[in-house]
Amino acid sequence: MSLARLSLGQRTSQFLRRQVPVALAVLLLVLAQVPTQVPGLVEVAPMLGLICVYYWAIYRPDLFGAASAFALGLLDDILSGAPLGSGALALLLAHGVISRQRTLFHAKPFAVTWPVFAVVAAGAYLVRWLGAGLVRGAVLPAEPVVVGWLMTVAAYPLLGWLLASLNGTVVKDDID
Amino acid sequence: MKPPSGQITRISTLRALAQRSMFILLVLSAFGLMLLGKADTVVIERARTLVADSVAPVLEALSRPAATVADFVRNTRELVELREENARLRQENDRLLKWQSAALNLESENDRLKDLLRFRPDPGTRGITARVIADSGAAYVHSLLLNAGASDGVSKGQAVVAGGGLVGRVTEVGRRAARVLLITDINSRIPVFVGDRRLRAMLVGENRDRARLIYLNGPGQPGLGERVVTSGHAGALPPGIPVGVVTAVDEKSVVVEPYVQRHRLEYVRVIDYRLPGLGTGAP
Repeated sequence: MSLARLSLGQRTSQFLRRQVPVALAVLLLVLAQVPTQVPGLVEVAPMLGLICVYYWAIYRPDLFGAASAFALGLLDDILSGAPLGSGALALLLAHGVISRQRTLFHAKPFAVTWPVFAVVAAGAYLVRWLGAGLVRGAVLPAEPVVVGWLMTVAAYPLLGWLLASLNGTVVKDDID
Repeated sequence: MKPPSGQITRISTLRALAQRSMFILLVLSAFGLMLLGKADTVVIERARTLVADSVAPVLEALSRPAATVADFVRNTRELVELREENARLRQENDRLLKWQSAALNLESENDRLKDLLRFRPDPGTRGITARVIADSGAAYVHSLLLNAGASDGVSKGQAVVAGGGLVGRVTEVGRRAARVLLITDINSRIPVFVGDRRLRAMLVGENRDRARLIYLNGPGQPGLGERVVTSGHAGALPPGIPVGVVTAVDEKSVVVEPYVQRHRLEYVRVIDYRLPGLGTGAP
């Protein structure tokens, strides 16, 4: 069926479905800014945006492009007060690496995608830590970054599962 | 009609090329932004405050239920420890009552002495109460977003305090949101006095829970448990705001634990402090 033959309702639904990956990532990012009043959490909170970037870069790069990864990182920088560009660069590079190798990870079991995510996340954290340190002109403490990385890797199964259950149900194309 | 396969290959090559140049462009933009940020330009600040301003209402709405949940958890936890807490508070109350009478005596004595010396009083300070609406990214920067901005009278450089003491300083101001750099941030520098001897020093953050004293000026080292208060030097902050307490002293550094615990912050006060007659020949 071609796009021209779809009704207005179908086209609207199609359009909205295609916005879900980015919209969900933005929502998670905004939620992550909210003060939790849990001691010590704010230093090590997981980078949920990275999980979204990784997942969609493998399965639906057409719906979550490099520009989206960049914008998501930039929004994180602005809202969290981190040096502008550091988060954007980290997510962008992660997206770049994954989307170029996506055929390798596509349709691979969780036992493969999870460790690969851990490696990609380590790279992204390192980039952001170095970038932020360069801009701020200081060596930032590394412990929160390492713990944050572990938290992100630990959050991957749950959020990855949520994204996987959206992919193919909510996020699907009515046309080919 | 189907396009010939050669055309398809050409289109896909062009698309790949466009994607690649887009990627490179974005990487360069990220570096460009980092450089701009390092130069600390007004443009970056304007952009940041603009976005913060527009997201502030959303964050504000979200932070209320979050705070309610946090309160509930805390209340439940406190309920368990009610009996012990009560005993402790009763003891503390006795002790504080003694201090209160001592403070009242000192206050009246101080007033009399000030009168004798014709002391020029500090300017009255006005406070603006604000809610913390965003707190994140602590691995890279120690800062908070408040739901008060220029339209509420907040301006750059003002001190932010909460019950226990100094929280930090306002660094970016939007119309309805402002960013506070905490005293524990790696770029924070606060002139302070330490202890009863009022040793002058600079409190520097390290992006950790605790801060450090540098440029200690005066005889001897500060002792454990000595109080650190703002000195009011440089005129940026009002003098005498409690900052923290010295928790470790060694050859290389003096560690200060701030009175204010970041995760407990819900409401803060932004202090509008202006030196009297600044620019009119005041000393």
